[in-house]
Amino acid sequence: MHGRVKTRTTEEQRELQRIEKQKKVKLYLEGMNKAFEKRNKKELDDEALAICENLLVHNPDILTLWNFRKEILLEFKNSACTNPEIDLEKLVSKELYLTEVCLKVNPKSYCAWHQRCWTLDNIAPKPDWDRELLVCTKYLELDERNFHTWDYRKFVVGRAGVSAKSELEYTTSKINKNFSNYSSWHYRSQYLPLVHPDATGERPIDRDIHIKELTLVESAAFTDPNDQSGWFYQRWLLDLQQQLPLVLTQACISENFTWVAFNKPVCPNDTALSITGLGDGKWKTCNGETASHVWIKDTQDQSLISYEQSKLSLFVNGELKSDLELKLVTESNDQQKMIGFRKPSFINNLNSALVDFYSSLLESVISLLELEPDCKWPLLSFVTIARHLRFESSRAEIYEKLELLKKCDPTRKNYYDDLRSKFLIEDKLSELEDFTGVFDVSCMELTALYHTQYLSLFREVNLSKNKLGKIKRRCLGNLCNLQACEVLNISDNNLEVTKVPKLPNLVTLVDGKCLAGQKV
Amino acid sequence: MANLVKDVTISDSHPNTLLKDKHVNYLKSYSDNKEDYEYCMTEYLRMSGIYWGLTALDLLNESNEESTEAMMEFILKCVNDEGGISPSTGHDPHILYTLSAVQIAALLKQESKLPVQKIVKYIQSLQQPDGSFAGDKWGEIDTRFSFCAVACLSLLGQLDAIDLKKALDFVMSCLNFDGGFGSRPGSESHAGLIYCCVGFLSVTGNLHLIDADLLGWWLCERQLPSGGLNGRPEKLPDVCYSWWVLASLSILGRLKWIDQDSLTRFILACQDTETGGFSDRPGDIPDPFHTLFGVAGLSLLGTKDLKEVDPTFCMPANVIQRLGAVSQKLPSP
Ligand SMILES: [Zn+2]
Repeated sequence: MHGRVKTRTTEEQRELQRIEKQKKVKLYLEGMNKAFEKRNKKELDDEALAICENLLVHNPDILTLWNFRKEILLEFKNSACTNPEIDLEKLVSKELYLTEVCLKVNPKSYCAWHQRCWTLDNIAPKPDWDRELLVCTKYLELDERNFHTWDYRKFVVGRAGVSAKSELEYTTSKINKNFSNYSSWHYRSQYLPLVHPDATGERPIDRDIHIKELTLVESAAFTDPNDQSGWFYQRWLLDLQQQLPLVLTQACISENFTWVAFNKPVCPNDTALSITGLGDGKWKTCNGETASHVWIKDTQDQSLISYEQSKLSLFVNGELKSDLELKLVTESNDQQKMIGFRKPSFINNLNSALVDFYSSLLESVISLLELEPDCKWPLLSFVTIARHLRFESSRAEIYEKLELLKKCDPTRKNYYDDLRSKFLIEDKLSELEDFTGVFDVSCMELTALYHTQYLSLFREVNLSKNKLGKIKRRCLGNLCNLQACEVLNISDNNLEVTKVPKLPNLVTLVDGKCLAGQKV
Repeated sequence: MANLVKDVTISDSHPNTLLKDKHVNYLKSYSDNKEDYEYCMTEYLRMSGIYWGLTALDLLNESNEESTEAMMEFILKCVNDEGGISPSTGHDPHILYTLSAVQIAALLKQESKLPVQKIVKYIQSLQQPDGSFAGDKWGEIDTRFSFCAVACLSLLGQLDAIDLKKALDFVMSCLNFDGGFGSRPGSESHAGLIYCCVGFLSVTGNLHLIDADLLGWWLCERQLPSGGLNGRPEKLPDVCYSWWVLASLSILGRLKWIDQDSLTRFILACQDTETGGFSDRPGDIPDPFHTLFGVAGLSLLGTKDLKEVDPTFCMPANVIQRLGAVSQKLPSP
């Protein structure tokens, strides 16, 4: 059903084709009837194998016929102990040959590939895995992107006990032959952390290898700056940092309402997580989903609001992961609450060796961009590297490059716009010292709203005069994190008020059309 | 080594409006001639074929002429002793066709006529100790089958019949460096399998486990200058991959990261102006499979006169609502 070009034919040709197809249909129906008849009578013999084979070579996707063959092969295998005339090796090699014939007809036939694995695992007395590895190598020379072949290789490698190191070397040789091969890079990403884990456990792979790998992909990507495979791999390597640990970022305990915010969405039902210092009561997500950045509970426990209770602790599997200091604040209406927050961190710091290397890499990308100023991939690479380095000097340039990217890759302009919005919000949040007053990101041409989990304590949030309504009927589910928000301004965005989720403290919703307060 | 973008060209000679009546006619007459070559040669996937045709017709606001009773009779004839459903009588049961049959029954509001407990037992029997699912008793493992299992159970309101935690762990073990998923741990990312894994997470309410920005970027990079989407880097665009990428982006709340106008143009160009139906690429022979994904894609893109499609189940949204099945979506950032 793929790649069959519709051709203009004459009446005469059509008639010939019709007759040809009729013949095929007849053969197919007769063949299937015979196969089903043999199967019903439980005649598990050579004739049955031949009937299936005749049908499968034309249509390798008839799974039931492969299954029938499996039943026959199992029968032969069972009888082989008592019947010396049965040559299992020969049966196996015939079966493997048939799958090869079928894979020529359809190299992506799931059932033919599975038949091969199944036969080797279940029928073959002594599978020849070395030969199978050669079959993979041969097939990958014919089509180096067939993911079935790569999967089969992985299966054979597992059975044959081939070392991860040797497979990593195989990908090196494939990449040296043709770096424009996404499959090889993918396969490489699997083996790299296995062969070169970081001795200290602080990083996903060994630091020197990381640098070496970035150098390898740099030379590949620079050879043809328009080739995407290498750049995808490079972006992965550039972002390859230890994941940020789960931390408590904000919390609030008030008279009738309590919430905590995390840097990642987590599930209140996850028994591995526990927070001390917050009394009893069951946590819920703030958005009704399985997991959320902000957990809420509405148990009332006055005793928690005191000068003594000043710290929350997050435990993961009983191990202390994160503390959050709380302080007592008195509101204008004399109500007291405990709140806490920490400065957000969006990315792990690079260690000094990597800073040096990333800096030199940035220089190379800049020189490449001097030659090809409108080339998408080096532009994106610049943005990624510069974002990691966080040099104050290149901050403005990142936004310039994103504008350029929108021009030279207009198909994905909305992606670049959202990336810009994300960076702007990160920059804004990084500058802040206080997370409880007013959060103002108006007039910034924002198209997306990232990191709302850091806005849970703000009393006032101003999103006005942005481009958030570029999406039709935009859902504003992200706003559910704004637990403390009393005044929310979404005006001049072309947003629908009805999409704003219920917020517990919201008093005034400014939507541009009217300034009337919406009492919730 | 030269980097040639594999793509197609779309010209003014290709159709640019929805040929609704032609598609209705194409789908309704597809099974008219039971001796037809195409029809016979696709017997091994008949149950899915019926699901493609029925769903496409429903999205086109048309009902099928074949009677509901006849359809249900066929399905019940395909249920085997263990509760699995085969593509056609005489063929072996498989989780792929079990899902298709449940989808058909749901479309026809006949799910209560199914032997639900038997089907649930069959699906349970396919779960492996590592949480993965086999397609049938012969043990092929694939994340497609993980999706089939939870989609099927969810439509039947029996999602807790399996070990969901382990099933989830297996799917997450197929996560790759690029944020995508493959068919087994270590397998390359592929739009079809990404759809299955994202769909799995959507059905089970676990979308928070995805790095939606990373995966969303990979998915929007599938769009080629023609507007069509491919399933992997350096591959040709295709209507079915367009659906898988589009549906995944929609579930992740990042549909706007692709150029929707040019994709609409690509899908419309894949219509067959003579026979009706959609093909994989402009100028190829149409089939019911690509016809469903063409229509469903256009529905997600907001084409007028089409019913709303649910991106997770690839079924009319009203059917999913009626059944109360979960299909989680992430809010747009
Ligand atoms: Zn296709």
